[in-house]
Amino acid sequence: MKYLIPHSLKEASELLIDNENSFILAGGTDLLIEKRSGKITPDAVIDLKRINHEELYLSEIVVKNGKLEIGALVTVTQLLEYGNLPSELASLIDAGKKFGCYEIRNRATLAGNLAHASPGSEYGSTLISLDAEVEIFNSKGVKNISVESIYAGAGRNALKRGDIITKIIIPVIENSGSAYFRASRVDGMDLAIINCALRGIYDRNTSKTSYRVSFGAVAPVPIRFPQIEEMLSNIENNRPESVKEVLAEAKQFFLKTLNPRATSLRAAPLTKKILAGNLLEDAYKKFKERLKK
Amino acid sequence: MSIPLNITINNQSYSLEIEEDTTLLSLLRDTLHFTGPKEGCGNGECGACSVIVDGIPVRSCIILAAELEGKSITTIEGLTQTDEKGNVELSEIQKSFIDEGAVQCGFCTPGFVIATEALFNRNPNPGKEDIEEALSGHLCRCTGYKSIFSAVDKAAERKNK
Ligand SMILES: Cc1cc2nc3c(=O)[nH]c(=O)nc-3n(C[C@H](O)[C@H](O)[C@H](O)COP(=O)(O)OP(=O)(O)OC[C@H]3O[C@@H](n4cnc5c(N)ncnc54)[C@H](O)[C@@H]3O)c2cc1C
Ligand code: FES
Ligand code: FES
Repeated sequence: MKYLIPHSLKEASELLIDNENSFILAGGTDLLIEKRSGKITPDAVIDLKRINHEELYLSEIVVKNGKLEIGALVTVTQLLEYGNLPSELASLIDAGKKFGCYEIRNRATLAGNLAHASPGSEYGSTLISLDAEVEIFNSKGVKNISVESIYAGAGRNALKRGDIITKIIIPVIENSGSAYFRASRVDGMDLAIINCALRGIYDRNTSKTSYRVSFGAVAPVPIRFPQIEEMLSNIENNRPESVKEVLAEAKQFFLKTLNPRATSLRAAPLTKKILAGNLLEDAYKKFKERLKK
Repeated sequence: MSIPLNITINNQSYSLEIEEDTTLLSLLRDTLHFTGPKEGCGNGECGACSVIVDGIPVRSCIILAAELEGKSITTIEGLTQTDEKGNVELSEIQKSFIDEGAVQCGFCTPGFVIATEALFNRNPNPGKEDIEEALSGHLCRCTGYKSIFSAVDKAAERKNK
């Protein structure tokens, strides 16, 4: 295996194209494990961390034009320690705190998390619920696509050879709030049995709230449930029982419609169906609590 | 193919030729014989291979040595002091682990000690939660963890006395 050092994004993209069985290397916390297990046998890895400082923004977090931009080399620790995170995006912190352990968070990047395209990863559902986009660089230039469209299947991303994620772009919206919850077998280092990320935007004019809700590890890719988003938006502000009714309806919906695979290592399908409703409830309540403040 | 690597380990500089797919753990143990870091799982899950790279604790089993050009590594061997007569003095953290019976088979110990050292460097006065966060990804098959937490508390006390 060759270890290649690109000096620019352009060179990194060219190296990917010139070396058929090559991979971008970010934190390596997925890549090196897949290499060790023989799942992949790279002829070359291209270390994005060695790019010259003209590409410094790859390692930066900035708020620009009402959007939070997270560079492709930003690690989970860097995000957790970032002092200026808009409170609307608190779910990013919820997810980071559940992520691996300290030493893993010191290496793992958010972009690598998306590119790995695992069905239950921390940032798949979180970033989908926040309506985030990723910026993709290739020889033709730069384009933005939604986080949802990164996913092609379980563990498969939709990037073309030569494509490099350069940043993740998240809208910061007034009167909005977010929360992320996951269930796992142990409280320490484990992947999610299932996870749920929720964002709500309160409209002062109509007094209505609109939602984006995304679940991980219930399907081959993290998915939204428009029916659930619709149900939540029908919660009546001044009738407390309405919250209970809608959450009960949502729980029934999951029991009836979810169809998680029976071969999951982490939980039986029924467990996941029940957990989905419970996590939705947790996320909804946390969101309401945060929105008030 | 081999490539050159300049790296500092426990304050000593090395100019080496390494294979491109050598992990940092393998370089440390197999080539340079720093056998403090252990290979428990090889998958980033147990923490036994932890070392400090430029102040940040990481898992050496899932890092390529090639990634570390110009970097400075601290292994558990680097925490001890050796005087001119060759006597080795353990660090306060290591002594506390011994005093509190936090070492049984010892396989996990270098990882826990390194994680504690890195914690103290970034936070000289860690609370319970900080300690739990710093050690949460480290597995110990023998002690049941209680003595390890006592050792870290004791080391913090000694350090801040
Ligand atoms: C012990 C352990 C615990 C873990 N716990 C969790 C957890 O709790 N939650 C979770 O979600 N994940 C977890 N993971 C998985 C892993 O840490 C994450 O998926 C991580 O975010 C991957 O990022 P990385 O920078 O290490 O990616 P790498 O391993 O460097 O890369 C992963 C993949 O993405 C590609 N890639 C990376 N960056 C780019 C880019 N900019 N453009 C295009 N392609 C790119 C690589 O080519 C590779 O195919 C864990 C892993 C370990 C070893
Ligand atoms: S050997 Fe590296 S984490 Fe287990
Ligand atoms: S002392 Fe044996 S694994 Fe911890």
